[in-house]
Amino acid sequence: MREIDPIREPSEALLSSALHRLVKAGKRNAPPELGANLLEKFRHRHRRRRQVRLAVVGALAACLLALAGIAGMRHNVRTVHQQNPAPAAEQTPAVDATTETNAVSDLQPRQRQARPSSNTAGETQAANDEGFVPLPSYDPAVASGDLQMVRVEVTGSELRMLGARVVGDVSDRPVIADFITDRDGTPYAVRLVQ
Amino acid sequence: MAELARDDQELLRQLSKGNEPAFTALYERYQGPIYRFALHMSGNNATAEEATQEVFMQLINNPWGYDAGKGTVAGYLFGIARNITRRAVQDSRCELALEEEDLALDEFATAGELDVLGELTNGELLAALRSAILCLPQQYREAVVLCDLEEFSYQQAGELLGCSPGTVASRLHRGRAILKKKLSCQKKLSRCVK
Repeated sequence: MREIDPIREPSEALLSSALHRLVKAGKRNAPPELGANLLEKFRHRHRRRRQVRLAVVGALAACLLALAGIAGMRHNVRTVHQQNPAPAAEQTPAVDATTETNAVSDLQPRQRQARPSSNTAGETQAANDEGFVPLPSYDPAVASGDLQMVRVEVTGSELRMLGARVVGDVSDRPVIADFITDRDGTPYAVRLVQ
Repeated sequence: MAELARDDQELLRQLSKGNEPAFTALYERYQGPIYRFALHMSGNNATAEEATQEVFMQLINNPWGYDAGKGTVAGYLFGIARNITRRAVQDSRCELALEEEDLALDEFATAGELDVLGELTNGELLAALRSAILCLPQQYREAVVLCDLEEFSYQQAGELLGCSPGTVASRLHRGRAILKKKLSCQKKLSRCVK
């Protein structure tokens, strides 16, 4: 601000002096209660803001936990499905899978892999290559100790007579097969060797 | 000034996070100037209190309303106070008794005419000055209040009012001229009464 020369500008000097007296007389502040009131409103607002924020964070955490829970459950279900493939796949083999499992479990572990999955000739052949296929004469009550395996050469028609499903024209063709039989010679399961 | 502005911005940032000391510091720094500014602009304690409350409520409710690119925190606060005061006095303010056109003919009162200031008691002088200031046009009143009563520099006042220091100086010069004219009129009036 510019300096006022009281000689050259006496009216300015008088006015400045008067204004200065007004400043000295009017050095007032806002009432203290106004400050206290504003401080209380400030506290109230931020208390409420913190509560809202806490609620939002809580809700988000709950949502995340719920999502994590759902994801975990889905993962477990998927793992169980991978460990136990769909039952439908096991129900489709040419021979009853339950019977086969029971029969084969008494024979040798390798045979558990025999799981034909369709009725086609090729797939049946593939299943036979992998393991024994139970025959209709199979009796689950027979103890495994009474079983024996014999390798014989038979024709396709003989196999068909024993109850094995033979597909294709192999009636007169000789094949080598392993038979699981009882002590009295009753065949319980057969496996094509050649 | 720049240091203070940066400090104000930091305080405002802390305030927006709910920091109570930051709010208290900002309040203590500006409540007095804002209250007095509103008081001198309106001549009314209630309006001054209301303006002060509104300014700080704005800070409490919406601390993000301040844009550092548009000016200082002080300018922002005074801007709010100006708007509130302007609205409050719009209906009730006394009309300027002396038109500016009249001032062009007889802009400056002489020192002799202002001798009345010495003849008045302190109370009478302050009342006469307050009355004269209240009757100034808004833009001149702002310049007189900020530069003469609040003792801001032209630069500071320019930042608060959103205009250049030169404009502030010009408005102040004009405002003081009107003040002197009004006071000299008052002197004539008081002599007539006596």
